[in-house]
Amino acid sequence: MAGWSEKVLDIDLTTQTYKTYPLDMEMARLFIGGRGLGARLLWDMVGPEVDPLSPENVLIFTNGPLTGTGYQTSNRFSVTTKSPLTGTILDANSGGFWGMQFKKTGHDVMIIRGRAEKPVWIEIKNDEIKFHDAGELWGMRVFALTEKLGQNNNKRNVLCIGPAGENLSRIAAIMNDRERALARGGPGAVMGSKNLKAIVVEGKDRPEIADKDQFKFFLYEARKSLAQSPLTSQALPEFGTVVLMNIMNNVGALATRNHQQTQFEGAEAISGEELTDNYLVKNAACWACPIACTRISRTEKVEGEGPEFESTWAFGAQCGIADLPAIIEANSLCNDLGLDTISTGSTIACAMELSEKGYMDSDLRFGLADRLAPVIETIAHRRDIGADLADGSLRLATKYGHPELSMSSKGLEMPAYDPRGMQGQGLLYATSNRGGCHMRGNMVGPEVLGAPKLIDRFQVQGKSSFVILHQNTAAAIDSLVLCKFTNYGVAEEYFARVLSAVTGIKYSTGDMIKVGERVWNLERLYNLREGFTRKDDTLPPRLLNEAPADGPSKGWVVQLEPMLKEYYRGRGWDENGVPTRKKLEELELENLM
Amino acid sequence: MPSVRLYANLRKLAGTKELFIPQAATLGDVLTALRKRVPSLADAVLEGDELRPHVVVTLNGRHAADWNAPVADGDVIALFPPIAGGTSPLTPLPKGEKF
Repeated sequence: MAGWSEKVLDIDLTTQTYKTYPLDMEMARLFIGGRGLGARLLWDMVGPEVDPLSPENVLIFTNGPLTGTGYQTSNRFSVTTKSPLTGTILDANSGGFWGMQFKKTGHDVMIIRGRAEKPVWIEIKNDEIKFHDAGELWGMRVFALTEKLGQNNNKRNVLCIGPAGENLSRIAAIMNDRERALARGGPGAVMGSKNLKAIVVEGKDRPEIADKDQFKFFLYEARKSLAQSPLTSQALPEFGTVVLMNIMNNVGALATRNHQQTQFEGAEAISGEELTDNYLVKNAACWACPIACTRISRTEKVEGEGPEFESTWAFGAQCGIADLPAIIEANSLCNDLGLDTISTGSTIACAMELSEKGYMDSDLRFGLADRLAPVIETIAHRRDIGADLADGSLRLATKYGHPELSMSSKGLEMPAYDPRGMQGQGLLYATSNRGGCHMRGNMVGPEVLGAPKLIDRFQVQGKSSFVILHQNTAAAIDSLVLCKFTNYGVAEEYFARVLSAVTGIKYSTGDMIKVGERVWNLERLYNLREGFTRKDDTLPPRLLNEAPADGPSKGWVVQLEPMLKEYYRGRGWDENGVPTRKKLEELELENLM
Repeated sequence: MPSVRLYANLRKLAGTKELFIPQAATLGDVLTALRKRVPSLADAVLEGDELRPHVVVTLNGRHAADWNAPVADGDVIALFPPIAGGTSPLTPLPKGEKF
């Protein structure tokens, strides 16, 4: 069928064998691809008895029916697994070129099972799959390895782990195309636990499109919309995502020094304006992306992609550091070692607070920029102080007797937006299926940026309906798989229309949002099966009880409980946050009960 | 006197990061003064008397839309052109189409 290759590649590393079989197309219709398809497959494969770092866990790489078609941002792909950081279902998606190339190998899904006896890397050229000895590659960093294995953006693409994944850091990322990351929740540790160093793809298939004329029309329309939107044609390309730094600080919603404050006096020094004026070399873009929000920045020591807003915040405001070159270098180092920048920065910030308060014996202190690079090295290699930090802030803070100082939800470190100044964002973090995350929907649009329309960021009543809609939409986009930034310029209706043109199956906008809702509920069921309950839908006590002493969010804490009750009702769940049979029947998920 | 802090590409238009506006009693007075002093800046954020889509104005860090809001010495008005990041802002659907 057009859109899908209808083929699953299933690799067992223990036996170093593989098989291929047809994709269940009814499953594909219901879950599309990417995050949705990955979640449905994981449900059948990995139950509560499986340790995330055991051979029984799997890595499920998925693309979607739009991937590789040339539709704007159709470069993305997902990995789904059980998270070694949170124990929840985890999917992470990434841009660049690898996803497009993977699709061209003629597979919708690649499942990695088992554990190789010795380090290996896999090379895939359509139906030719080879296992190679990675003994000499083990220990290599990402940039050098990517080059060694022959990265060529439009022909051959490298996905790999760095030392952090090899050393089973629970905040390790899987990297692709040198500096793109499947970052959150520790998928790099799962890959490391399997003794799998890299997957290189070279494809030659062109994705089939059902209605080429319609597809070309929507391609043209979407390009026009992206060019007309000031957000996608000017704001993102000109200043990148770091432009958010000043506005978040201005409104008092920029988490600072491990969320002890909501404004950072050094925000201007680490802003998008500062990055653009003094460190930007040029813009770069993922495959088939006209937005080109990627920054190539340079300091005296490094030149490379980024940093994005969240990374700049994590090593900046969250650590009390206003030294932009040090932040750019910390970001680059994390990419080279294969670490999630958000979790790494926030875990360092947690250690800084533990140390300043005398709970932990270390020389880490807020504001010490020269400590960033050395401590990141220790995390990736699990040595010295890094042995404690390599497993994320919640395990670190728990070890030193103060779990409340981990700024995480369900164990995943939260990003930059301090929810005391954005009530909806607080609900969003607390209910996110992979833990504290801004990519499962984000209220920064309506609560701060006025996109599409400004709503009162402190209002509580009625906020859950916005959060639910954002979460469902994000899950749908993640299942296509597209970049969510297209949503700043292209209306949701285009997603359904272009999917219909590519696959030949009629999808309406309502169908797409229902796919998102189905995926969200399935992820919820997975976490419930793992033993998560209503009590896990929460935030650090600091955000619930400690109001900022000054600034525009002075006096506010997150009013979670009333929002949560409203949210469960809005989702059609019972008072304990369990989806009702009626809701599951409506979403065609009743056979999973 | 109140000050106006500028961000992103508005700094290039004004040639500065911050402007001080004397004798302004309301937010509307501030915008009127801006229109006179830096017309290109006012054009970038205003369409007639209305803000252009996605332009954000804050008064001491709180979103402001009431031009009659009083301003005083030391107040800070921040002007942001359309900016983006994060994820999934949701664009408006065409009329008649519902989720």
